[in-house]
Amino acid sequence: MTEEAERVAVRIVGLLVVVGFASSAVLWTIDTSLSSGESLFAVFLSIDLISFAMISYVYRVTKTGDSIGRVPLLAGSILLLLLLAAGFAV
Amino acid sequence: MSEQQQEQEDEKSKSGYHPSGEAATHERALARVVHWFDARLGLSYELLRPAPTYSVNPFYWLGALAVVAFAIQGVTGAIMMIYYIPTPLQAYSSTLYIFQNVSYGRFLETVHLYTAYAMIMLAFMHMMRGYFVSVNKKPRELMWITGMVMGFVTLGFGFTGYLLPWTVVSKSATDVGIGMMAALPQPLSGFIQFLIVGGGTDSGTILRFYDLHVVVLPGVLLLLLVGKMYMLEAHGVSEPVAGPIPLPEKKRRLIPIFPDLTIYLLELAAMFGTAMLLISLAFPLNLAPEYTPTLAAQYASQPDWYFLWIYQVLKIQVFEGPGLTVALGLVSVIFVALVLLPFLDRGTTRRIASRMRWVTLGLVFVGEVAVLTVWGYLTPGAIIPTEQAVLVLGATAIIIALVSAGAYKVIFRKMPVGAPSSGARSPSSSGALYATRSFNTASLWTATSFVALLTLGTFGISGSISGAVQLISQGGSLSLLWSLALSFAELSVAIAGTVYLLYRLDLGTGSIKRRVKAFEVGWKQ
Repeated sequence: MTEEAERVAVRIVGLLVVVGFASSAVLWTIDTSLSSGESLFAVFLSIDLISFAMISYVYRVTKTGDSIGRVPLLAGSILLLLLLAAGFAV
Repeated sequence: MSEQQQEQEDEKSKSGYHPSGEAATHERALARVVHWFDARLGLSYELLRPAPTYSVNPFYWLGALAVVAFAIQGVTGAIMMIYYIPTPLQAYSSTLYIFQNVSYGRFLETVHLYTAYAMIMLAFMHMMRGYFVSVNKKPRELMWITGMVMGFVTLGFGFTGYLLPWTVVSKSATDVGIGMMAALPQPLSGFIQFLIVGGGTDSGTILRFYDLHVVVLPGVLLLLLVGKMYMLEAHGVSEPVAGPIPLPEKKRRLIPIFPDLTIYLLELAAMFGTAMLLISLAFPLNLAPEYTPTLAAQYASQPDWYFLWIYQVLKIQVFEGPGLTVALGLVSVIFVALVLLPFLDRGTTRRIASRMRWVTLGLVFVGEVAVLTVWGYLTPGAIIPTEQAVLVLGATAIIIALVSAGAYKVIFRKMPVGAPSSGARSPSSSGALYATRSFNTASLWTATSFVALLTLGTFGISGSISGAVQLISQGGSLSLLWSLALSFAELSVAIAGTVYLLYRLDLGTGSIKRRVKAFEVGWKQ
């Protein structure tokens, strides 16, 4: 793996860790008595899980020395953005 | 030393079984039995061995995802157990209470249901993948049988869990299921009735279903899972079925179970969990009305989707009344054959290219199950005329068999044959032998294909004409449109198959090709 790719990987993982922690924090603040609570719970738990899956993907691929695929990262990022938008909309 | 002897020696050395001197020459029957089980159960094998890189593939872990679904069900089910009361009077009201009063109760119920569906679907996919790549072959026979029993336990979860909300839909469907079991031959029928119904009262039945659902079946599944995991550790993941191109060294490289493979599995589990959450959010569960005998009389009893194919078979006219036992016997034969598959499919090769009959049989099975399920969904409670059943099931089998045969002819005609039973081929052997088919065999295939296509075409034409006449005279209905679409599909396949055969017969020799070229030249001139 080149230094440049490694730097990119570290940045991606850093960003995903922040997203993961932020969504976990939101999960703790949800008011369970509200009817929208279910939706918020599902959306932010999904964000947490996707962030985790992407972090582990980057870790795994980096460790084996393969190049990080653009498609999985792009698909994951788009899904994260959509979910974030849905979370704020709810 | 022959290849088989070498294999036996390898197995013995792996299992730590080292008979020496006279003991080696006069191996006793008991020792052979012990060795047979040891080689399959891996009692003396090293555990947590590294896994090959080619196993970093979701298709290798469909069973693991089914286990993830089971774990999610365990968590959601445990929360629901706090509120649920398994009595006929309170089952529905306690379920409704979870729906309406417990925080995220409806979501919890929805996730529980959808992960149950996912677990059944994943178990089925896991089984069929294993069937097609023939993982049941030596030394994984017992793993296959254990997996099949786990599959039945999974269906048992579905059957027992379906009754628990005590809705009119679930109770009626379960009554149908219990009624069907009564038609099984004794003492099997008596034993199952005792196990799930007991004294025959509603309160006894729901308590037994609850007990089976939350205690007995999870316990049995966990025990079987431990056994299967142990055998997986002993034998490792099965190698990919051999193709003409050798597996690259990079794919054969070993990776440690922890953290590499564990992280990959967690990655898959996270994606699966996300899918379940989002599906549950998009399609929340609606609770059907509570069961009452009056209300039940207005509903067409129908089991849940994973039992629909069996129910559809039982609804065929010929199996009505005393014929029910015959139908149940047929379904049982299919299940028993699947369990005993390692002893039925005795061929040594795992290559898909060399197992056309078994692969076609598997495809026909999947196709028939799919057709019966959709058909059952479209015709709730309706008795199916025998001729119609023969036509639909027969046409499905013929179409799939023809498509499979055609695909084999196109895909595998230039593939090498005589490959080793599994694993990557050595570079020296690849491309050495090529499949050849004698002229007589080709003629026989052509004649058989023409007869099959003719039969299919006849069905297609008669079905299309009859459907069109009915459509004009009686107007459209869903079942009529479905039947018409099927007839058109039959006709299309027959036409496409005939054109393909003509192409193979004529263009293959070059005569038409030459004529076409001459025509083109003439046109240009």
